[in-house]
Amino acid sequence: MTNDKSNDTELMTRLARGDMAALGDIVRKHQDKVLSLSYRVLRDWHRAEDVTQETFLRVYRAANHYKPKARFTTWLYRIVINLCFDEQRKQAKAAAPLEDAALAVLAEPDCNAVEKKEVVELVKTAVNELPERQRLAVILHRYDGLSHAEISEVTGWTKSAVESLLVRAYANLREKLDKMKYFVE
Amino acid sequence: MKHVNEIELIEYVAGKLTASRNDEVREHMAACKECSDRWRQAVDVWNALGKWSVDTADHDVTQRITALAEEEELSQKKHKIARDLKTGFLSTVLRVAASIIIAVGVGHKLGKYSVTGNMPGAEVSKNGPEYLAALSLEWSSELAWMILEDDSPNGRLQ
Repeated sequence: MTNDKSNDTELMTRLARGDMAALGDIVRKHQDKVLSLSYRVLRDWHRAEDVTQETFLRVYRAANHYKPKARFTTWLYRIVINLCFDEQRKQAKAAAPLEDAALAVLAEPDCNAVEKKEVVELVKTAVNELPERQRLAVILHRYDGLSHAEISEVTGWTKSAVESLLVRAYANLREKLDKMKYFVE
Repeated sequence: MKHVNEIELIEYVAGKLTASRNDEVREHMAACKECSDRWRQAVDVWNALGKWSVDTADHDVTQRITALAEEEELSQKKHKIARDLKTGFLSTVLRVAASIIIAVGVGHKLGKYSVTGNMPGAEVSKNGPEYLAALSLEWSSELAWMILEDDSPNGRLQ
């Protein structure tokens, strides 16, 4: 972890000196995390790619002023989350239809694949049906490995708010997955 | 020991507790059926959520990002050069203008005074210009006649 942090700091120092190869290294190292987080939050690859692109451009623009106070990834996630919030606001204004999880299952020919995909879709649906803040808290906690304290840092919500969001979110998920008969087998 | 609270149970499942707290919770679980049942349920939800994986392989944006950043850097450099040139040119023009104004002002002021304290005025031309006197001529028309005489048919011009 410390090594990772110093490595990120080193890459940022190189980038501040104008070494564009360092930007490539940073992107290659973190783009999977940024892409999957923004995809899970926005549920749209096109928008997730846009957010990822803008996130790393912001990292590039901030390189000269970057001071490694917190973990690099915490700072990075904060940028991603803020951009996702912006995107969601735009999305709400435009009232664009969301990617329909259920429709994606229909045309699958292979039975095992159908079963597997159905399970995934159940989980996706359960997560996506959560209230927005609970959904974001769970995504950051379960899929990005952030503790509740780190989620508080990234989102700017208080620790107690994040605690309560996580507790309610996991309870809701348990209930939803039960209703979907996920735990029958 | 008290039952493990909800957020601690969640962080325990996520492996986010400190090592010492982790051991305490584990010990408690071994002794408390209620907490161990809650833990099992939490693990079920945790594992179920783990089924949703995201494949980012088809969405590599590295090249796009580095190209955009390079483009941005280039345009920033161009912008800086243009700005430097603009401010440099303006300051040069202002300096030259200031120098001219100062030189004219100082020249005008100093022109009113002579080194000897008296202004010579226009008396220089009283007896005709000096170059005419040097040729023992009084008027420049005489000089003109001398030049015309030089253009005689035997002169070099022919």
